[in-house]
Amino acid sequence: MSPRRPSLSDKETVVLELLIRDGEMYGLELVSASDGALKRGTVYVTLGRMEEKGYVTARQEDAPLGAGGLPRRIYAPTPLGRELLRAWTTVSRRLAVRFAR
Amino acid sequence: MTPPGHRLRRIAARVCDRTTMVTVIDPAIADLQHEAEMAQRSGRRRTRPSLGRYAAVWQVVGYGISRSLIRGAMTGFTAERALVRRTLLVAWVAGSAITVLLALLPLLLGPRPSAVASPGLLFLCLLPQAAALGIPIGLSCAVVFAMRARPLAIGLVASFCALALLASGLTVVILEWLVPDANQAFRTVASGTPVARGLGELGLTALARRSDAASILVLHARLSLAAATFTLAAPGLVVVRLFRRPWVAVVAWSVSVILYFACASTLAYQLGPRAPILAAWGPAFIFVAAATAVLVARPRSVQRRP
Repeated sequence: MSPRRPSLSDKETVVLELLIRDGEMYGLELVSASDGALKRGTVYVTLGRMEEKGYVTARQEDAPLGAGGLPRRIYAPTPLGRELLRAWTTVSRRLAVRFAR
Repeated sequence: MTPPGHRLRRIAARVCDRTTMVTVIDPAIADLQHEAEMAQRSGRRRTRPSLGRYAAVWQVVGYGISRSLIRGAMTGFTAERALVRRTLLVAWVAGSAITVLLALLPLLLGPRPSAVASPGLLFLCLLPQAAALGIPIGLSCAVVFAMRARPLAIGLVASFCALALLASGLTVVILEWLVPDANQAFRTVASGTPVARGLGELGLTALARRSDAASILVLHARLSLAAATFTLAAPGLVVVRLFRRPWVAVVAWSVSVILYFACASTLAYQLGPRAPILAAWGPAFIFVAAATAVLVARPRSVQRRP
């Protein structure tokens, strides 16, 4: 069986763009920075899937703000994620030019 | 005061695998709790998260539970292949026996049909209707048999849910395409003359087009029959948890099956003309809710596999 080709959905592209532009972020920060492109109910699912694919890496914050609360998860792009976004953007830009002709 | 999302997390932790908890559900709840904490620190009057924020976390939990169940079903099928195969075999034997018995009983105990009617043909006509009852009873009986003296591993439960879904699909096919014509053939053969179709001789789609209470009741009663594997397996899982001895478990489960159908027919008779949907789904709801309450109250019965 041939290895699975890496691909990026629209939401994954937004997540990678934001993480590369602004650095490490929490799930909710991504939602508010995305101007409605990411929703609260789906961003964690997208991030979990991207973590499984190796596009982003995650670590837990050192100490949660509240005494009984869970520590938040901070996300950052991996080298694979950066490279994939670069390739994806280049290809889609070239294709967009071709389709425009 | 417990932080928001605490109870929701406890519910999710009972069903979801560790990866889903760590990567999907915990981050969503952590962010919700962080927001509430920030609101409290800033001295805002309203510190509890809004309904919309809770709804978003519910959406994440719903996704996590369904993903864990699908993963659990796949690993359960692989890890417990022998058990799943044995369950299918028991379901086949029990389902066939119950189907034959249910098709024979009206011929043996009911009024004698016309002299021209062949008993063999009448038996064949009754088979689809009997199979629609035999499949859910047989499969749920097999699940009870398979789960005796075993912990309720989430993979196994998910595998059985997948089997129950298949059984429901098969029952719907039988109820839509086989039962109406078989019932009509039975009536025609038994009376010896052509008879107009009644509600029992209509398929699910034909019933769905009608709006009278009787048709709605028959339609929903059939749909709840298609879902009966879940309804009957739920008390079965409780029974195997409560009774260690297999024969006691089988007797207790049989009593619950009889109770279910007695409850269904009583409600259909009493409540059917006024609230047909409630009458059709009421017993299923009561049985599943009661079984879930017992299973949740005894959390050690559910063991997650990493």
